[in-house]
Amino acid sequence: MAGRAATPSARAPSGRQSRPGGASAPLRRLAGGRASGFALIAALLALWQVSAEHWVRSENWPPLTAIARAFLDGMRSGELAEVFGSSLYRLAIGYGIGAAAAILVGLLMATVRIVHRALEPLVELLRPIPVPAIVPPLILLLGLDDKLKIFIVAFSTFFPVLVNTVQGVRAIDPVPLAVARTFRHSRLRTLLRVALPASLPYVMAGLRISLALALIVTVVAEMIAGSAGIGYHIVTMQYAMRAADMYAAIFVLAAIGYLLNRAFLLAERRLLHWYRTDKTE
Amino acid sequence: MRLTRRRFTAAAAAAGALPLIAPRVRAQAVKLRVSTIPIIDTAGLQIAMAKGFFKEQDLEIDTTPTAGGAAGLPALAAGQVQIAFSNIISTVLAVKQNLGFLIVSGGSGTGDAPPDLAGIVTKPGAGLKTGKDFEGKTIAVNTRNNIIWLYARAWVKKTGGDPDKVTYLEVPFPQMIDAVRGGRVDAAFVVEPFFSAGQASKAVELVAWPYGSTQKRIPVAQFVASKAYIEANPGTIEKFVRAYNKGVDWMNANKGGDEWAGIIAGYTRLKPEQIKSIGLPVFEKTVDPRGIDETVALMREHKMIEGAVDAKAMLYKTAVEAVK
Repeated sequence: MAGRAATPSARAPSGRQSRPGGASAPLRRLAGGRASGFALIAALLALWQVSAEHWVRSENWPPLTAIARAFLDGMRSGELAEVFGSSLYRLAIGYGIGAAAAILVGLLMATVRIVHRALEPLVELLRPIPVPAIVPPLILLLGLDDKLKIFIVAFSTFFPVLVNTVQGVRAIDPVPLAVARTFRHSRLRTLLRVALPASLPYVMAGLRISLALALIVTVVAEMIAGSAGIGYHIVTMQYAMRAADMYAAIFVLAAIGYLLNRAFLLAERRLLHWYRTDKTE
Repeated sequence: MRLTRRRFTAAAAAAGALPLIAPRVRAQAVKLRVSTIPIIDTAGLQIAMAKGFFKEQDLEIDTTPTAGGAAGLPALAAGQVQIAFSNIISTVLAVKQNLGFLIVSGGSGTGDAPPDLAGIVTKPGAGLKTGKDFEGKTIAVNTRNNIIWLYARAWVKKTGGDPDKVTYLEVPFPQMIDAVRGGRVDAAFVVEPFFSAGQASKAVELVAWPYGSTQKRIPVAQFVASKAYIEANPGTIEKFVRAYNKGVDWMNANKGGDEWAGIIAGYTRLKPEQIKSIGLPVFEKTVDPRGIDETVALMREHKMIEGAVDAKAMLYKTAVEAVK
C-alpha cells in the first residue's frame, strides 16, 4: 500500500460500463455478505463475554456488560460526546487541509514537469516517516495543542492523496486531453475540467485510504501529547484502571471508523456515478 | 475532565471577578502553562488549582497533561510550557545535556522506610527472593534507562545479584500484572494503583521494595523550569511555588478525606474508593541535594551518565527553602 498508488477497484473510465447480472443480484450478495459479517462479530462478542466471565481473570478484560454500562454512563454524562467531538473536529480540519493541499500539489506534479522533478525526491523521502518519530521537533515548532495534532493529521493525509492524484492524472485517457487541446482550452481549464474529473476515481481511492489513516493518526497524536480527545481518554482510562471505560471508547472509535467509511462510500458513489456502479467494497 | 475543569475555571473566574470590579489597581493574572502527568504524584498542583491557591497569587494555571509525561521536558525546552513535572532521572539527564533547567520545587518522593508506592511482585509462590535469584530471569519495567529500571538494577545488586544478568523488559504499568500472571515475565516493578490492585486480586505477591531498601527519601519527581524563564520572571516563579506549597500543606492536612479524594479522582479518573486504599508518595516542598547526590551516584554506577553532577546547582532557591 505504501509503495504505490492504490488503484480504484473498477477499470479506468472508458464510457462503457458493465452491469453483470443487473442491480439486484449484487445487492443481494452484498446484504447476504454483510449479514454473515455481523453474525461473526456477534459470535466474537459472545466469546468475549463468556471468556471475561469464566476464563480470563484480569482487570484489563472486563465483560461486555460492564463495557455497555460504561458506554451508557459516558453517553449520559456527555463525556464521550465531548471526547469524540474534539477529536473529530481536529480530524476534519487536518484531513481537509491535507487532502486539499495534496490534490493541488498532485495536479501540479502530474502536469508540470519541473514541479514533479523538484518535489518528487522530497515526497519520497518524507512519505515513509512515521509521525511519532518526528514529534519532538514538531512540539518545538507547533506547540502541544491543536496546531500540532492538526498538522500531524494533515501530514498523514497528504501523501496517499498526493500519490494517487499524480497516478490518476497520468492514467487519463489521452483522447479527452487531445480534444481539449483541439478546442484550445487553456491549461488551467483543461486541468480543472478534464484532468481533475477524469482522475477523480484515483483521487477518491487516495482520499479513502487517508480517511482511515487520519482517524488512526488523530488518536495516536492525542496519546502522545494530549489533553483532550479519544487518544488521551483511552490512555487516561487505562492508567486509571477503568478498562471498561477504555473499551467503551474503543468501541465507539470502531463504530465511527466504520461509519466514516460508509459515508465516504456513499459520497463517492454519488460523485462517481458515471464511473462505478457494480462494486462498492 | 476537560469539561469539568473548564466549567470549574469559568465558575471560579466568575466568582473571582465580582470583587475585582471595585478595586481596579489589582494586577492582571499571569498565565502559566504547566506540563503535568495525571497521576497521584501531582496532587499538590491539582489541589492548589482546585482550591484557588494560584488565583490568590494572581496566577492562571493551564495544565497540559500528558500520560506518561514523555512530552514534558521537550515542551519545556521548546518554551511551550513554563513549568514541567519531571522525574529526577530525566531532569539529571537534561541537566547533563546543558538544557538550562532548574528545579523550582519539590514534588513526590519516598519515605524513610517501606512501604513505598511501588514494589517488585511475582506470581504467588515463585520462590524468587533476592537479586541473586533473578539472574537469568526477566523483570518488567515501564521504561529502560529511567527511574524504575535504575532502582530495579540497584536492588538486584544490593541483594547479591549481577544486574547485567537480569533481563529488563519494557511493559507499560497497566499491563504489568497481566504480564506476571500470564508468565510473560518473572516479575514486575510496578507502581500504584496497579500495585495495590494486583495484590488485592491475589494475582501477585510482593517480593521486594527496591526504592526503600536502596535509598531513603528518594527525590522521585519535581517541578522544573528553564533558567531563562526564572531569570526573567523570578516573582512569578515564587508565586507559583508559594501556591503549590499551600496545596501540599492542604493535602497533608486533609489526606484521606472525601474532598481530597474527590479532587484526585477528578484528574486521575481513579475511583475515589480506590484512591483511599493505595499507597501514597511523600509530597515534598523542597529538595534535599543529598538525595539527588545519591540518585546521581546510582546513575553513574549503572552507566547512565559519566562525570559529576552538582546537585546544589540544579536547585533554584525556591526548591531549597520553602517559600512562605
